[in-house]
Amino acid sequence: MAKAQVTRGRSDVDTRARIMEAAAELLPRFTIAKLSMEDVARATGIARQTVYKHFRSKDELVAEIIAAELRAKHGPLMRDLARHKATKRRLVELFMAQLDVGRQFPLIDPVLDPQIAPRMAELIFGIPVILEALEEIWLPILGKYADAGVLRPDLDHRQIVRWITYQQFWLITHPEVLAKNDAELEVYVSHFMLSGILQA
Amino acid sequence: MSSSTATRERILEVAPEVLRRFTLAKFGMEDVARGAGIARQTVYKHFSSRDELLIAMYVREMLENQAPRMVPVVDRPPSPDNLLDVFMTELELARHYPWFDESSEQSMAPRLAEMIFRSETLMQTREAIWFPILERYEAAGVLRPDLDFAATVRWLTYQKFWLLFHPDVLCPDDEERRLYVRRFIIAGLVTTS
Repeated sequence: MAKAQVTRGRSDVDTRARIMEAAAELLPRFTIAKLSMEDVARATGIARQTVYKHFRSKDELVAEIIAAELRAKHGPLMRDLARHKATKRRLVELFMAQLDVGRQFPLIDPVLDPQIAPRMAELIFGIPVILEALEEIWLPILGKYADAGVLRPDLDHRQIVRWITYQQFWLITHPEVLAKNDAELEVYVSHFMLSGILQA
Repeated sequence: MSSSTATRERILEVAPEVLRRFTLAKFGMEDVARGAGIARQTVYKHFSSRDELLIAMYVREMLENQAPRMVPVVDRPPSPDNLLDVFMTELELARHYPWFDESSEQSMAPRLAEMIFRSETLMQTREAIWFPILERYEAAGVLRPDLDFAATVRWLTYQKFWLLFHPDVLCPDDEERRLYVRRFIIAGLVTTS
Protein backbone atom coordinates (compact mmCIF):
# COMPACT_ATOMS: atom_id res chain seq x y z
CA MET A 1 0.00 0.00 0.00
CA ALA A 2 2.66 2.43 1.07
CA LYS A 3 4.73 1.39 -1.88
CA ALA A 4 1.91 1.99 -4.36
CA GLN A 5 1.47 5.51 -3.00
CA VAL A 6 5.12 6.29 -3.40
CA THR A 7 5.04 5.09 -7.01
CA ARG A 8 2.00 7.19 -7.76
CA GLY A 9 3.53 10.27 -6.12
CA ARG A 10 6.61 9.81 -8.18
CA SER A 11 4.75 9.54 -11.49
CA ASP A 12 2.72 12.64 -10.57
CA VAL A 13 5.93 14.55 -10.11
CA ASP A 14 7.14 13.26 -13.46
CA THR A 15 3.95 14.28 -15.24
CA ARG A 16 4.10 17.71 -13.70
CA ALA A 17 7.71 18.12 -14.80
CA ARG A 18 6.88 16.85 -18.29
CA ILE A 19 4.01 19.30 -18.64
CA MET A 20 6.22 22.20 -17.59
CA GLU A 21 8.98 21.12 -19.93
CA ALA A 22 6.64 20.79 -22.90
CA ALA A 23 4.95 24.11 -22.17
CA ALA A 24 8.28 25.92 -21.76
CA GLU A 25 9.29 24.66 -25.19
CA LEU A 26 6.05 25.77 -26.79
CA LEU A 27 5.93 29.20 -25.15
CA PRO A 28 8.44 31.14 -27.26
CA ARG A 29 6.73 29.95 -30.44
CA PHE A 30 3.11 30.25 -29.35
CA THR A 31 3.53 33.28 -27.03
CA ILE A 32 1.69 33.44 -23.73
CA ALA A 33 -1.40 34.93 -25.35
CA LYS A 34 -1.89 32.12 -27.84
CA LEU A 35 -0.73 29.09 -25.89
CA SER A 36 -3.65 26.92 -24.81
CA MET A 37 -3.86 24.10 -22.29
CA GLU A 38 -4.96 21.96 -25.25
CA ASP A 39 -1.61 22.62 -27.00
CA VAL A 40 0.25 21.76 -23.83
CA ALA A 41 -1.68 18.51 -23.40
CA ARG A 42 -1.00 17.50 -26.99
CA ALA A 43 2.73 18.26 -26.72
CA THR A 44 2.95 16.30 -23.47
CA GLY A 45 0.96 13.42 -24.90
CA ILE A 46 -1.66 13.44 -22.15
CA ALA A 47 -5.31 14.40 -21.75
CA ARG A 48 -6.25 18.03 -21.20
CA GLN A 49 -7.92 17.13 -17.91
CA THR A 50 -4.61 15.73 -16.68
CA VAL A 51 -2.96 19.09 -17.33
CA TYR A 52 -5.72 20.75 -15.31
CA LYS A 53 -5.16 18.27 -12.51
CA HIS A 54 -1.68 19.72 -12.08
CA PHE A 55 -2.29 23.36 -13.00
CA ARG A 56 -5.59 25.07 -12.37
CA SER A 57 -5.08 27.60 -15.15
CA LYS A 58 -2.71 28.64 -17.90
CA ASP A 59 -1.58 31.55 -15.72
CA GLU A 60 -0.63 29.18 -12.95
CA LEU A 61 1.30 27.00 -15.40
CA VAL A 62 3.16 29.99 -16.86
CA ALA A 63 3.91 31.31 -13.37
CA GLU A 64 5.38 27.93 -12.36
CA ILE A 65 7.57 27.91 -15.47
CA ILE A 66 8.83 31.41 -14.71
CA ALA A 67 9.51 30.47 -11.08
CA ALA A 68 11.46 27.36 -12.13
CA GLU A 69 13.48 29.43 -14.59
CA LEU A 70 14.25 32.01 -11.89
CA ARG A 71 15.49 29.31 -9.52
CA ALA A 72 17.64 27.73 -12.22
CA LYS A 73 19.21 30.91 -13.60
CA HIS A 74 19.24 33.51 -10.84
CA GLY A 75 19.86 31.24 -7.88
CA PRO A 76 23.38 30.04 -8.74
CA LEU A 77 24.44 33.46 -10.05
CA MET A 78 23.24 35.30 -6.98
CA ARG A 79 24.78 32.80 -4.58
CA ASP A 80 28.08 33.14 -6.35
CA LEU A 81 27.98 36.93 -6.30
CA ALA A 82 26.80 37.03 -2.71
CA ARG A 83 29.94 35.22 -1.57
CA HIS A 84 31.81 38.51 -1.74
CA LYS A 85 31.93 41.03 1.06
CA ALA A 86 28.62 42.86 1.57
CA THR A 87 28.96 46.47 0.45
CA LYS A 88 26.62 49.04 -1.08
CA ARG A 89 28.49 48.76 -4.37
CA ARG A 90 28.06 44.98 -4.30
CA LEU A 91 24.31 45.27 -3.83
CA VAL A 92 24.05 47.46 -6.91
CA GLU A 93 26.07 44.87 -8.83
CA LEU A 94 23.74 42.12 -7.65
CA PHE A 95 20.76 44.13 -8.84
CA MET A 96 22.36 44.70 -12.25
CA ALA A 97 23.41 41.05 -12.57
CA GLN A 98 19.91 39.84 -11.83
CA LEU A 99 18.49 42.36 -14.26
CA ASP A 100 20.80 41.04 -16.93
CA VAL A 101 19.60 37.48 -16.40
CA GLY A 102 16.04 38.75 -16.56
CA ARG A 103 16.69 40.46 -19.87
CA GLN A 104 17.92 37.21 -21.39
CA PHE A 105 14.97 35.28 -20.08
CA PRO A 106 13.61 33.11 -22.91
CA LEU A 107 10.12 34.41 -22.22
CA ILE A 108 11.15 38.01 -22.50
CA ASP A 109 10.35 38.55 -26.17
CA PRO A 110 6.69 37.70 -25.82
CA VAL A 111 6.62 39.75 -22.63
CA LEU A 112 7.79 42.79 -24.56
CA ASP A 113 4.69 42.57 -26.70
CA PRO A 114 2.68 45.60 -25.51
CA GLN A 115 -0.47 43.53 -25.60
CA ILE A 116 0.98 41.14 -23.06
CA ALA A 117 3.23 43.21 -20.80
CA PRO A 118 0.36 44.68 -18.76
CA ARG A 119 -1.14 41.24 -18.17
CA MET A 120 2.31 39.98 -17.20
CA ALA A 121 2.51 42.54 -14.41
CA GLU A 122 -0.65 41.17 -12.86
CA LEU A 123 0.52 37.60 -13.41
CA ILE A 124 3.92 38.07 -11.79
CA PHE A 125 2.69 40.08 -8.82
CA GLY A 126 -0.65 38.33 -8.45
CA ILE A 127 0.52 34.71 -8.28
CA PRO A 128 2.62 34.07 -5.15
CA VAL A 129 4.88 31.38 -6.63
CA ILE A 130 7.08 33.81 -8.57
CA LEU A 131 7.71 36.14 -5.65
CA GLU A 132 8.32 33.10 -3.46
CA ALA A 133 11.06 31.97 -5.83
CA LEU A 134 12.59 35.44 -5.76
CA GLU A 135 12.39 35.51 -1.96
CA GLU A 136 14.29 32.22 -1.83
CA ILE A 137 17.05 33.88 -3.85
CA TRP A 138 17.08 37.33 -2.22
CA LEU A 139 16.22 36.82 1.47
CA PRO A 140 19.50 35.09 2.40
CA ILE A 141 21.43 37.80 0.57
CA LEU A 142 19.48 40.60 2.24
CA GLY A 143 19.99 38.88 5.60
CA LYS A 144 23.73 38.93 5.05
CA TYR A 145 23.69 42.59 3.95
CA ALA A 146 21.61 43.55 6.97
CA ASP A 147 24.08 41.79 9.28
CA ALA A 148 26.93 43.67 7.64
CA GLY A 149 25.16 46.96 8.41
CA VAL A 150 24.68 47.86 4.75
CA LEU A 151 20.88 47.94 4.95
CA ARG A 152 18.67 50.15 7.05
CA PRO A 153 17.78 48.11 10.13
CA ASP A 154 14.01 48.69 10.21
CA LEU A 155 13.09 47.26 6.80
CA ASP A 156 10.84 44.34 5.97
CA HIS A 157 12.94 42.17 3.65
CA ARG A 158 9.93 40.75 1.82
CA GLN A 159 8.93 44.29 0.92
CA ILE A 160 12.42 44.88 -0.43
CA VAL A 161 12.13 41.81 -2.66
CA ARG A 162 8.80 43.04 -3.95
CA TRP A 163 10.23 46.51 -4.57
CA ILE A 164 13.28 45.16 -6.44
CA THR A 165 11.10 42.84 -8.51
CA TYR A 166 8.69 45.67 -9.34
CA GLN A 167 11.54 47.91 -10.48
CA GLN A 168 13.17 45.17 -12.52
CA PHE A 169 9.90 44.30 -14.19
CA TRP A 170 9.53 47.79 -15.68
CA LEU A 171 13.20 47.94 -16.61
CA ILE A 172 12.91 44.64 -18.48
CA THR A 173 9.61 45.30 -20.20
CA HIS A 174 10.30 48.99 -20.99
CA PRO A 175 14.10 49.05 -21.34
CA GLU A 176 14.76 52.57 -22.57
CA VAL A 177 12.25 54.66 -20.69
CA LEU A 178 14.23 55.64 -17.60
CA ALA A 179 17.81 55.60 -18.88
CA LYS A 180 19.46 55.46 -22.28
CA ASN A 181 22.16 52.93 -21.38
CA ASP A 182 23.43 50.74 -18.56
CA ALA A 183 25.91 53.31 -17.25
CA GLU A 184 23.11 55.83 -16.82
CA LEU A 185 20.83 53.15 -15.41
CA GLU A 186 23.38 52.18 -12.76
CA VAL A 187 23.30 55.74 -11.47
CA TYR A 188 19.52 55.55 -11.07
CA VAL A 189 19.80 52.16 -9.39
CA SER A 190 22.40 53.29 -6.83
CA HIS A 191 21.16 56.85 -6.28
CA PHE A 192 17.43 56.29 -6.32
CA MET A 193 16.18 52.71 -6.55
CA LEU A 194 18.33 51.26 -3.76
CA SER A 195 19.30 54.39 -1.86
CA GLY A 196 16.15 54.14 0.26
CA ILE A 197 17.11 50.74 1.63
CA LEU A 198 20.80 51.46 2.18
CA GLN A 199 22.20 52.72 5.45
CA ALA A 200 23.23 56.36 5.09
CA MET B 1 -3.47 87.96 -28.47
CA SER B 2 -2.77 87.26 -32.14
CA SER B 3 -5.38 85.25 -33.99
CA SER B 4 -2.88 82.39 -34.35
CA THR B 5 -2.31 82.25 -30.58
CA ALA B 6 -6.05 82.42 -30.09
CA THR B 7 -6.54 79.41 -32.36
CA ARG B 8 -3.89 77.47 -30.47
CA GLU B 9 -5.62 78.32 -27.20
CA ARG B 10 -8.97 77.32 -28.63
CA ILE B 11 -7.59 73.92 -29.67
CA LEU B 12 -6.09 73.34 -26.23
CA GLU B 13 -9.34 74.33 -24.59
CA VAL B 14 -11.57 71.90 -26.47
CA ALA B 15 -9.06 69.03 -26.76
CA PRO B 16 -9.40 67.70 -23.16
CA GLU B 17 -13.15 67.24 -23.60
CA VAL B 18 -12.53 65.44 -26.91
CA LEU B 19 -9.95 63.23 -25.21
CA ARG B 20 -12.37 62.40 -22.41
CA ARG B 21 -15.08 61.50 -24.90
CA PHE B 22 -12.96 59.44 -27.31
CA THR B 23 -10.35 58.01 -24.83
CA LEU B 24 -6.62 57.99 -25.49
CA ALA B 25 -6.77 54.98 -27.81
CA LYS B 26 -9.24 56.62 -30.19
CA PHE B 27 -8.44 60.30 -29.83
CA GLY B 28 -7.65 61.84 -33.25
CA MET B 29 -6.75 65.21 -34.78
CA GLU B 30 -9.92 65.06 -36.88
CA ASP B 31 -12.07 64.94 -33.73
CA VAL B 32 -10.21 67.87 -32.21
CA ALA B 33 -10.68 69.90 -35.42
CA ARG B 34 -14.40 69.16 -35.38
CA GLY B 35 -14.62 70.06 -31.70
CA ALA B 36 -12.88 73.38 -32.28
CA GLY B 37 -14.86 74.08 -35.44
CA ILE B 38 -11.75 74.44 -37.59
CA ALA B 39 -10.09 72.56 -40.44
CA ARG B 40 -7.87 69.59 -39.69
CA GLN B 41 -4.97 71.33 -41.45
CA THR B 42 -5.29 74.24 -39.02
CA VAL B 43 -4.80 71.86 -36.09
CA TYR B 44 -1.70 70.52 -37.83
CA LYS B 45 -0.41 74.04 -38.32
CA HIS B 46 -0.23 74.38 -34.53
CA PHE B 47 0.66 70.83 -33.56
CA SER B 48 2.74 68.81 -35.99
CA SER B 49 1.47 65.49 -34.64
CA ARG B 50 -1.06 63.90 -32.34
CA ASP B 51 1.72 63.23 -29.83
CA GLU B 52 2.73 66.88 -29.82
CA LEU B 53 -0.85 67.92 -29.13
CA LEU B 54 -1.22 65.32 -26.37
CA ILE B 55 1.97 66.58 -24.70
CA ALA B 56 0.85 70.22 -24.97
CA MET B 57 -2.48 69.26 -23.39
CA TYR B 58 -0.82 67.53 -20.47
CA VAL B 59 1.63 70.40 -19.96
CA ARG B 60 -1.37 72.69 -19.69
CA GLU B 61 -3.14 70.28 -17.37
CA MET B 62 -0.13 70.21 -15.05
CA LEU B 63 0.44 73.96 -15.02
CA GLU B 64 -3.17 75.08 -14.80
CA ASN B 65 -4.91 72.32 -12.88
CA GLN B 66 -2.46 70.24 -10.93
CA ALA B 67 0.27 72.64 -9.80
CA PRO B 68 -2.11 75.24 -8.30
CA ARG B 69 -3.89 72.53 -6.31
CA MET B 70 -0.57 71.27 -4.97
CA VAL B 71 0.31 74.67 -3.48
CA PRO B 72 -1.12 74.14 0.03
CA VAL B 73 0.88 70.91 0.42
CA VAL B 74 3.99 72.30 -1.30
CA ASP B 75 3.98 75.28 1.09
CA ARG B 76 4.14 73.18 4.23
CA PRO B 77 7.47 73.18 6.08
CA PRO B 78 9.97 70.83 4.41
CA SER B 79 10.11 67.38 6.01
CA PRO B 80 10.25 63.82 4.66
CA ASP B 81 6.56 63.30 5.49
CA ASN B 82 5.54 66.48 3.74
CA LEU B 83 7.58 65.47 0.69
CA LEU B 84 5.64 62.22 0.70
CA ASP B 85 2.41 64.23 0.77
CA VAL B 86 3.54 66.36 -2.18
CA PHE B 87 4.24 63.21 -4.20
CA MET B 88 0.97 61.52 -3.19
CA THR B 89 -1.08 64.68 -3.83
CA GLU B 90 0.31 64.97 -7.34
CA LEU B 91 -0.34 61.28 -7.93
CA GLU B 92 -3.93 61.67 -6.82
CA LEU B 93 -4.47 64.71 -9.04
CA ALA B 94 -3.07 62.92 -12.10
CA ARG B 95 -5.18 59.84 -11.49
CA HIS B 96 -8.26 61.51 -12.94
CA TYR B 97 -6.64 62.56 -16.20
CA PRO B 98 -7.81 60.46 -19.19
CA TRP B 99 -4.31 59.07 -19.75
CA PHE B 100 -4.52 57.19 -16.51
CA ASP B 101 -8.16 56.94 -15.47
CA GLU B 102 -10.43 53.94 -15.95
CA SER B 103 -11.02 54.85 -19.63
CA SER B 104 -7.36 54.18 -20.39
CA GLU B 105 -6.34 50.81 -21.80
CA GLN B 106 -3.28 49.26 -20.20
CA SER B 107 -1.95 48.26 -23.61
CA MET B 108 -1.35 51.98 -24.22
CA ALA B 109 1.34 52.11 -21.51
CA PRO B 110 4.41 51.34 -23.66
CA ARG B 111 3.51 53.93 -26.29
CA LEU B 112 2.62 56.52 -23.70
CA ALA B 113 5.79 55.84 -21.71
CA GLU B 114 7.88 56.38 -24.80
CA MET B 115 6.04 59.58 -25.64
CA ILE B 116 6.29 61.04 -22.15
CA PHE B 117 9.90 60.20 -21.40
CA ARG B 118 11.18 61.33 -24.77
CA SER B 119 9.44 64.70 -24.63
CA GLU B 120 11.74 67.53 -23.62
CA THR B 121 8.77 69.88 -23.31
CA LEU B 122 7.13 67.61 -20.79
CA MET B 123 10.27 67.05 -18.74
CA GLN B 124 10.94 70.81 -18.71
CA THR B 125 7.47 71.38 -17.31
CA ARG B 126 8.04 68.71 -14.68
CA GLU B 127 11.28 70.47 -13.78
CA ALA B 128 9.59 73.86 -13.64
CA ILE B 129 7.14 72.44 -11.10
CA TRP B 130 9.60 70.35 -9.09
CA PHE B 131 12.86 72.30 -9.05
CA PRO B 132 11.53 75.04 -6.72
CA ILE B 133 10.18 72.35 -4.40
CA LEU B 134 13.49 70.48 -4.38
CA GLU B 135 15.47 73.70 -3.89
CA ARG B 136 13.41 74.63 -0.87
CA TYR B 137 13.72 71.14 0.62
CA GLU B 138 17.45 71.16 -0.03
CA ALA B 139 17.91 74.56 1.62
CA ALA B 140 16.06 73.20 4.65
CA GLY B 141 18.54 70.31 4.82
CA VAL B 142 15.88 67.67 4.20
CA LEU B 143 17.34 66.34 0.94
CA ARG B 144 20.51 64.37 0.46
CA PRO B 145 23.12 66.96 -0.52
CA ASP B 146 24.39 65.14 -3.64
CA LEU B 147 21.07 64.91 -5.50
CA ASP B 148 21.00 65.64 -9.22
CA PHE B 149 17.69 67.50 -9.58
CA ALA B 150 17.08 66.67 -13.25
CA ALA B 151 17.63 62.96 -12.53
CA THR B 152 15.43 63.24 -9.42
CA VAL B 153 12.55 64.71 -11.42
CA ARG B 154 12.90 62.03 -14.08
CA TRP B 155 12.96 59.34 -11.40
CA LEU B 156 9.87 60.71 -9.60
CA THR B 157 8.03 61.03 -12.91
CA TYR B 158 8.94 57.45 -13.81
CA GLN B 159 7.72 56.08 -10.48
CA LYS B 160 4.56 58.13 -10.74
CA PHE B 161 3.90 56.81 -14.23
CA TRP B 162 3.85 53.15 -13.19
CA LEU B 163 1.84 53.86 -10.06
CA LEU B 164 -0.73 55.59 -12.26
CA PHE B 165 -0.84 52.98 -14.97
CA HIS B 166 -0.72 49.91 -12.76
CA PRO B 167 -1.91 51.16 -9.37
CA ASP B 168 -2.38 47.66 -7.94
CA VAL B 169 0.79 45.90 -9.07
CA LEU B 170 3.13 47.06 -6.32
CA CYS B 171 0.33 46.61 -3.78
CA PRO B 172 -3.44 46.80 -4.03
CA ASP B 173 -3.96 48.68 -0.79
CA ASP B 174 -3.79 52.53 -0.66
CA GLU B 175 -2.28 52.70 2.81
CA GLU B 176 0.38 50.14 2.00
CA ARG B 177 1.22 51.84 -1.30
CA ARG B 178 1.86 55.02 0.65
CA LEU B 179 4.21 53.05 2.86
CA TYR B 180 6.16 51.77 -0.13
CA VAL B 181 6.48 55.28 -1.54
CA ARG B 182 7.68 56.50 1.87
CA ARG B 183 10.17 53.69 2.43
CA PHE B 184 11.53 53.17 -1.04
CA ILE B 185 11.12 56.41 -3.00
CA ILE B 186 11.15 59.24 -0.44
CA ALA B 187 13.63 57.55 1.91
CA GLY B 188 16.09 57.45 -0.96
CA LEU B 189 15.96 61.22 -1.40
CA VAL B 190 16.18 62.49 2.15
CA THR B 191 19.05 62.69 4.62
CA THR B 192 17.43 61.04 7.62
CA SER B 193 14.01 59.56 8.02
